[in-house]
Amino acid sequence: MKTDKKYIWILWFISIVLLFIISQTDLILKEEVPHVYQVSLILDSEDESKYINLKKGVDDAAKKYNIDINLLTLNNITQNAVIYSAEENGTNGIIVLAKNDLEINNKKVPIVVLKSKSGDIIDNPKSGYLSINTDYTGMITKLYNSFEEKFDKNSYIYVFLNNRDISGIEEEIDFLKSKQSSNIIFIEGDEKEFRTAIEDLVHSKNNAYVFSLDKTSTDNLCKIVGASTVYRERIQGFYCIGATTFFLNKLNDGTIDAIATVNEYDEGYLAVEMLMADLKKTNYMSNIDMENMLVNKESLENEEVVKQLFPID
Amino acid sequence: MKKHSFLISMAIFVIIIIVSFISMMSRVAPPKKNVIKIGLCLYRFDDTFISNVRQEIEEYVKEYEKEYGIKINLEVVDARDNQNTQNHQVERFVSLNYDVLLINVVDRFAASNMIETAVGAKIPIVFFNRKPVDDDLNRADNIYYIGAGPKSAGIEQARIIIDAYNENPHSIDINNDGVINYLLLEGEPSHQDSLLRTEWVIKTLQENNIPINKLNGAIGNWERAQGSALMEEWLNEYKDIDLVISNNDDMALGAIDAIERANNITGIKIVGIDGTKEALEAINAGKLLGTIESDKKEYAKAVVEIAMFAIGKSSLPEDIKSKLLDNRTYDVEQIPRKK
Amino acid sequence: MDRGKFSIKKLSIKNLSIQSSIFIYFTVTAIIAIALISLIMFQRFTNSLNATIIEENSGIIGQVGESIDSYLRNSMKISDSIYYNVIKNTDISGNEIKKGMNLIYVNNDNMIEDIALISGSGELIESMPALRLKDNINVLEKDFFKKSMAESEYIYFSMPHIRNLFDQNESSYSWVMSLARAVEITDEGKATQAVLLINLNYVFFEELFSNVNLGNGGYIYLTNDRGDIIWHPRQNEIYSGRFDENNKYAAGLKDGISVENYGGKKVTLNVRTIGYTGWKLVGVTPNATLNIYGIKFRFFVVFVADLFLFLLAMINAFISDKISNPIKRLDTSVREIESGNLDVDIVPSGSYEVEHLGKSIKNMLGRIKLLMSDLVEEHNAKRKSEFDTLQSQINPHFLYNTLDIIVWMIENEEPDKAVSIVTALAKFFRISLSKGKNIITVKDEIEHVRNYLMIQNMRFKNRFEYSIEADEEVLLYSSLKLMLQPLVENAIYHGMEFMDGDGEIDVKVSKEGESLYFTISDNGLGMSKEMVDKLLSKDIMPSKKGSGIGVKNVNERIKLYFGNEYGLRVESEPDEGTKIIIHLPAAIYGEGKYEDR
Repeated sequence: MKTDKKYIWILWFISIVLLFIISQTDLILKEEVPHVYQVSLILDSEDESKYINLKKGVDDAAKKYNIDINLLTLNNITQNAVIYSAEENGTNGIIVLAKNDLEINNKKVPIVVLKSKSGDIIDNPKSGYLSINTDYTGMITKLYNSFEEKFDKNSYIYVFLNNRDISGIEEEIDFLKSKQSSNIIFIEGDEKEFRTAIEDLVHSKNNAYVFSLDKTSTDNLCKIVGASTVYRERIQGFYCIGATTFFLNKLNDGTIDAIATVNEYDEGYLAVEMLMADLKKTNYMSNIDMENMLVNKESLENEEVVKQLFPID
Repeated sequence: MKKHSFLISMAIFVIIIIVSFISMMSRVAPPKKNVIKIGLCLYRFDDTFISNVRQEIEEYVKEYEKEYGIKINLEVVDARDNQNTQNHQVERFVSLNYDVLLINVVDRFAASNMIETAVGAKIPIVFFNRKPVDDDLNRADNIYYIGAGPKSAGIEQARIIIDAYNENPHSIDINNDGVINYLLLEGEPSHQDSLLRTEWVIKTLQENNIPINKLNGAIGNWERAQGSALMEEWLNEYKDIDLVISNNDDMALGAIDAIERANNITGIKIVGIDGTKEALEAINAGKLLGTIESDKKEYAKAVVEIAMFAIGKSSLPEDIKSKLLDNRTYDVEQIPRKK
Repeated sequence: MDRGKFSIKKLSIKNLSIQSSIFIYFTVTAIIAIALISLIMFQRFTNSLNATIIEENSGIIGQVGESIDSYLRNSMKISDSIYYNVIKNTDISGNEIKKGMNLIYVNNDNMIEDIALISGSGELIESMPALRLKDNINVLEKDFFKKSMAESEYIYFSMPHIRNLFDQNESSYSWVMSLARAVEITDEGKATQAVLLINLNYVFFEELFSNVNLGNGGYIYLTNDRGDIIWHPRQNEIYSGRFDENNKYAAGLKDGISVENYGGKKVTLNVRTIGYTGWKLVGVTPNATLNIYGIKFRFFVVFVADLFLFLLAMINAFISDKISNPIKRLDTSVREIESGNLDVDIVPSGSYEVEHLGKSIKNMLGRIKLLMSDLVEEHNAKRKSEFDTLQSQINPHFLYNTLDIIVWMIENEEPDKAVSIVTALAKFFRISLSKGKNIITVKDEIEHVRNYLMIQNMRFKNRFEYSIEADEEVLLYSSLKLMLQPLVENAIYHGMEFMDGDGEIDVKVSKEGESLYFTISDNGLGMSKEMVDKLLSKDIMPSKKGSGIGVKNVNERIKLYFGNEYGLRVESEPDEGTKIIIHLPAAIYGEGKYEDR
């Protein structure tokens, strides 16, 4: 064989050997080794116990994708600082709750913002983050309608909230204001402020319907109201935004009348799905709207509702 | 030239193959390795004492981070009182390459599975509050146990009663018949805390010649609701209850719940152990006679420091080191609390 | 015409070169064969893989089914145990029931969440562990209560639900399955109906399904007889609406294996009914598919194709080397030969047949060359002969001499003699030519030699005498033209030279059997043996002035026209005269045997 022909044969043979090694062995190309992804879930410190279902959803999805979930709580550091430090520490994705002062610039890793207001997103796909939206107006509407059925049109309406920075609170306040111009009182603060307000109510021998616009407030109220039957008598209706197992139990025993919430297990699960889709560059929505549900005592008899609100381990 | 063009095209072909697979390799950067991952496995989230300890551990981790400049990811999981679930949780942590595990084991006789998994992966375990059997603890050098000594707890609990009795017998012996009728609320069967706390509180009372008489006793499994249910039954059954001795605060609070529901019952003294926040509040409110508080801050510090020591990130602080027995077990300080 | 490389332009179905044919046929056959084999193997592999997976899965499902069976039986046994051994005939006012329940509870506390004995009026009689009914619960309205009181011979299994009867930690919840039955209790001597409720820990029940891996990414799930899910590995996703399962449909299937299409994919469903409760255990196995989207798989396909082509190319090169190229070379050489170049160098090579062909062609070429040169020589010889004959037909010297004699005769006023000679000459030349024929009658040949003799006799002034004798019958036979005359000429010039009037030349023709014999004898000097040989072997002209045809020539011509077995022979001794005998076949002229064609 002429020499140049020989070269061709040799090179061809080498190419076959190479292809074989690539396709059949792990020497050159490794099958996707189960890569452990790091995802940070950032919540406020008090929030942690209130978002157990969310965490369950996140954890279940994490198991599916071999992800290590890292729960970060804020503790007097700003959310932005925590996000920044998480990125510095090599996290692959971040899940965070919407806050009015949330700043996301120069995103290094995909970020999913939960509970942001619908329509809050800049319609630019490169806006920097993925979001799962809650329709706050829808929630407060449903809650209000349920309240309206039992409203005696006379009593006061006390609206409790923890602080105005919580996502969606402004919309809810505006809605309630638009529905009730008089007889409505807004109380912002913690247990102390709430206790004062309730005690005033009791002293003045008035009755009131109570709206609680966030979980912290509901928690504080339950503590106050649960302590004494006297308080309970003065409150004719107790309507809450946001559910935890504790609140649902209170719903069951009659303390709370109705709760508007979303399926937080699903929310957490979806957040992880969105992150993974972004990391793996597969197709997925960058923007999901969660459906609201209004839960009252009857709905706790409904299997479907129960399965969503009490996810199985 | 013909010869060369073949060579060149072959070479290009080979280069293309190499370049294409390099570019196909994973784009995701692996996380930086200077983050320590700690797994905290609790037997039940809704055990108040455990919950308190957990909060302290979280606090201490944050302090540790500041002091040593090491980033720590603490992941907390709830086994829901199911050992299998906990085994799965431990397996998962191991597969995610966690550095050290803090385990509050569900079934103290069934720790060998998780020990094998962790030891196989060379991951140290710090057990706390629920003690595995000695054979399991001694399996490897990097297995530790931290707990609040049940014996001393029992003794101290007895001491609260003794002191109160000595100060004013009538406060304990309500009907002044010279006999203190007591009910015993016990924790989980076969839990070392239940056994030892019960044994030593009774022993100490007897040794100090307190005239106790056991009306009844039952297993409340550390749970407030069960304590409450049992107490309710007993309130119906017995009319001369003086004292309720409870192995822990949750059950004691349950007993208090039952008494409050019954409305017209006063005077029964109740003692617990743990020193949970709710118990301390109850003491202030005069509902609970006293409790034995384990220094939860010390608890947390011991757990975290020993864990970090076990993975070689820092050396043990003196106060922890001095109390570490056999390089393995640590007894947390317990302080009586009463009004 | 270079057909060394495979050229598409020259491609036509009929006339492919060997290399192209082999290449095409081989490649097409190989591709078809490989495709067929791959397809068949793939089918069989997939089928057998599927069958194996299905079988294994049936085994696994069987096992899980059994463990569920066993779990149910166990829990029913516990219920039985509590009823028959603890509750029945025991008065509830004592402590025995509590003790008994405690014993059983402690022994099974993994599996059992709680045990409760509830009176017919909905009050909690006994529970293990100690529990309180929730304040706002009306037990009488609860399903388990109503159903078990309604059908007292039946143990009622509930679907999984949140435990809601008893006080418990308000921040947590637990999923349980309830097992309830109606029991007869004795209350201070009175027998009444009550309900024994056992809440089974759902997490413990889930363990039955953990680590069950059906091959190929399959999974199992459990529904009740109506298809409501009791356990599914992705149940939370189903309840959130993120995943779909055709559980209702599957529960309606009969026990066994069926292949269904769900969500666009083929799956195998394996349904098994659990005894007593009618629950359905469903195993779902997607059909085996190759992961055709993996990068490695694509590289693998490229690898296989590359390898295949490589082998094809190697085989093709081999075939070329051994078969096609040698044939091509042979072909090229043959074309060269066809175009007239007989000096092509043929090198036999290649496989056995081709090499043999090469050798044969080479040999044939050699023989052709030889034959051709022989032919050329013969051709030349014949042409020379003919030329000689032609020339002798003209015989210029004889003509000049005879004309001289005629002139002399005329000058000598002997016109009659001149006329005879002219006439004889004319006859002589006429027969010499014989219109170009080579075979004439014996009569004519004799006439020819007679005229010659007459002329020569006159020329040589009767120096010799001659006689010609021929039988009547032989005159019509065939003879070679210019056969006798050269021999007579030879006799005259060699034999008569020194004869002074005594010379005699006799020509006799006779037929013997199938042969004709012509004898020319003279009484001349004769020849030695050497001279005879010389006469026959060399073209000795009797005289420069003669016909130019020698004895050898006559001999050769006889052989040429009549065959090798005929010819002449010379008998001569010095001083004894010479006799030349010609042997010819006896063939009548006109029968066409020897005449010129």
